[in-house]
Amino acid sequence: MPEQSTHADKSTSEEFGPEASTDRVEEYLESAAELEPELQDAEARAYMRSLELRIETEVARLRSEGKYPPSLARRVRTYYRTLLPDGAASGERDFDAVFKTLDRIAYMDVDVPTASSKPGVAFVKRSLRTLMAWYLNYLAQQFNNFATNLVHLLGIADVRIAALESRFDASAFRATGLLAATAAAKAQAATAGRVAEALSGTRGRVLVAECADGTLLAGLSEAGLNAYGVESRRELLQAAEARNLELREGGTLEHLAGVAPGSLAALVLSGIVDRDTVNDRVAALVHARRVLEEDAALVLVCASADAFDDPANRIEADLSPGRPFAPETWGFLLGKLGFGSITSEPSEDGPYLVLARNARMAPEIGALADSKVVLTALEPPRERRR
Amino acid sequence: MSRPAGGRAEVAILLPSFAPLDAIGTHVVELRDALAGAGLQARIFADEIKPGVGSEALPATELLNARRRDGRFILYQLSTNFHRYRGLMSRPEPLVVQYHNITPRAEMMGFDHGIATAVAWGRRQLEDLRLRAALGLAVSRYNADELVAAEYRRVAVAPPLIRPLAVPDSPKRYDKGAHRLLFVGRLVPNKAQEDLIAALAVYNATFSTPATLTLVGSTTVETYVEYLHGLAHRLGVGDAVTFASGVPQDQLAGLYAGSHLFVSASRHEGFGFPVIEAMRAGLPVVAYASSAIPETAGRAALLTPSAEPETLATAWHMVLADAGTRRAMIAEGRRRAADFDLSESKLANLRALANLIPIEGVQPSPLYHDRLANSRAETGA
Repeated sequence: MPEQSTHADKSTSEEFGPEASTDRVEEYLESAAELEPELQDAEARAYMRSLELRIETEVARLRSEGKYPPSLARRVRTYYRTLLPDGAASGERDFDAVFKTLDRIAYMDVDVPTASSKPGVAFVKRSLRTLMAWYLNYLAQQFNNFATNLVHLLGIADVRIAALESRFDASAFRATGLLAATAAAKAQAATAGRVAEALSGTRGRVLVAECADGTLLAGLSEAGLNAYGVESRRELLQAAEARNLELREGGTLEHLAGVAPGSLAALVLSGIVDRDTVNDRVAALVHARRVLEEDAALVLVCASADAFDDPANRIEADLSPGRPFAPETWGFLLGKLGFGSITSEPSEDGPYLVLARNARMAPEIGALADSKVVLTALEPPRERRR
Repeated sequence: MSRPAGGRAEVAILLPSFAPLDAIGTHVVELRDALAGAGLQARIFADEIKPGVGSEALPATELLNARRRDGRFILYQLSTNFHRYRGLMSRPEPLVVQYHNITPRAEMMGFDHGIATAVAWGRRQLEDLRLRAALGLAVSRYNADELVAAEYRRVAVAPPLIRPLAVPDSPKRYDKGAHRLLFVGRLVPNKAQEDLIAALAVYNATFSTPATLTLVGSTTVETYVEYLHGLAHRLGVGDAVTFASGVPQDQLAGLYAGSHLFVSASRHEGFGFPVIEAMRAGLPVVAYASSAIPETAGRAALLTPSAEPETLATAWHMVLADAGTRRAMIAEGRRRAADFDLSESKLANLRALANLIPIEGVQPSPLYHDRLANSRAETGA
């Protein structure tokens, strides 16, 4: 193997040609970087992420200190929606407004204005309109027939979709507040200690959704975990607020849809796992797969079927679209979705925990991968504004 | 490459509307001067010529109805729809499309159907013009990606030409009175001034030093402006929000000088001129990291991951409450603004144009995208 020359070896450089130049190399690298936006992108992404972390940490601190209570967020966000002109978002009111506009404009008018301030021009325009009327009327008639039928078809579709929504929208009951005292809240209270133990040593953000009156969330915070909660029922949220916890107002699926991928160190799901539709439960697990870090813990706090059907829980049991699953069912679903280390911990008094880890491998969603439920859960929220 | 049969090459800069104070109006005047300085004949043509700039431009019809001339290039400024674009498509001269971006229609829906239709038409024209454009010239990589997506064959990137404002150098006091926040941009839904108003409500409810917000920008969408006024009133910050439109350059310079923080929640920017103006004026910048904003601001701004009111308010507070952060941001902002130095930016535009137009003594800059070269590389030809 020949000896290698060095920059310091003047005679060698002379022997082999021009001297090496650091400036020239830097110039080359600069011009090469211009042609390689992906390198700049990677650097920019890392910088952006560091800024995001700084801001998110500060927001979380202020939330946990009660500086940004859910009531403040509620007040601010309410007016975004209520003051928007109809048609600017994607709600029911917006649909009605846009449909009304469409109905009004889906018509081609061939009777073009012919007035003009210039002498003779009005006459020319009128003549042209008369000469072209046979042609334009023929085209307009076809367009207007098509548009009229299209608007009618949309009207029929709207009626049929509205009927479907009223039949199957189980969330309407939740908004009534009838479910304030739930089996899930009792399950949380009964398992708070065991959940804290299961998650001890977790570093990073922990989400409890739904957090009910905050009993379990408070236990995690006292154990030193960086935890926050999500709850949609106002009265429970107020009870949790009184404990100085970091809280967000909203539904579980709605909140999970907005959480960044791989940003949670642990996720505790409660409520949705007992009483929601199978589709919503699977959607929550799919979100969990996305928002959890690799190897992060998923904890399901489940009511037992007996506790759910307890006379004290009769209203919730009657009005809920779903019933608690058996531990075997959760094991089956979690396995299909690619979670690992799945265990369940039954207790004597009813509620039980299901523990799982977000596996390191790429998501193998398996038999559920092509189902509409999974695809829907992975879609970003449709609402353009909050 | 088309060369003049005799005499100097001519560049006809064409735009739908030419106004004295808007960003594109300023850009085309500076670009014309740069081209003239490089020895080319350059003129501005516009369909609508606003008062105050009549002597700077000729009617678009003079170009669109002119006889073909060898050595003439058309440099079209695409930022909205152009109702004479069929005439532009039929011109035989080599065409450069300089793309400043067009707001997506969805942002306007519900506020102004006319403008929503117009911007949709503009985006359709963006796609159609690829058939005629020998070169796409984007003012940011964000815009360049849209040109690539629209299948432009050759795309170069060069920054817009931002004329420095004469901002008085006045020291700012952050420790007394209300903090003055400033945003500059048309009052249109994609600029998301509602998010700034909501964040102001959160900020003033949370932090001890109150803030005021000045929104500088012309009214483009009436219903949106009504919405903003209503929102400010209902959130209890009506008195803390000032709307200022038709602000002359010297007053705008004064507003930059007198403010403490430049804030933006805009959801869609093709570049973001005011961010650079603010940095030049020594204002720290906090902006929602959307569209081209991260690329424009570089490392000089505090960029937020969302435009949620609490997130924006927190980021504002992180800057306003910390003198060290502010000093570092102001210094970094001035360095970043220097990257858009007018003479350097003119040279970058000339180098980008030199990929099509022969400009003596100017070496073409590397193309951002060259479909022909890429397909050769892929096939190993």
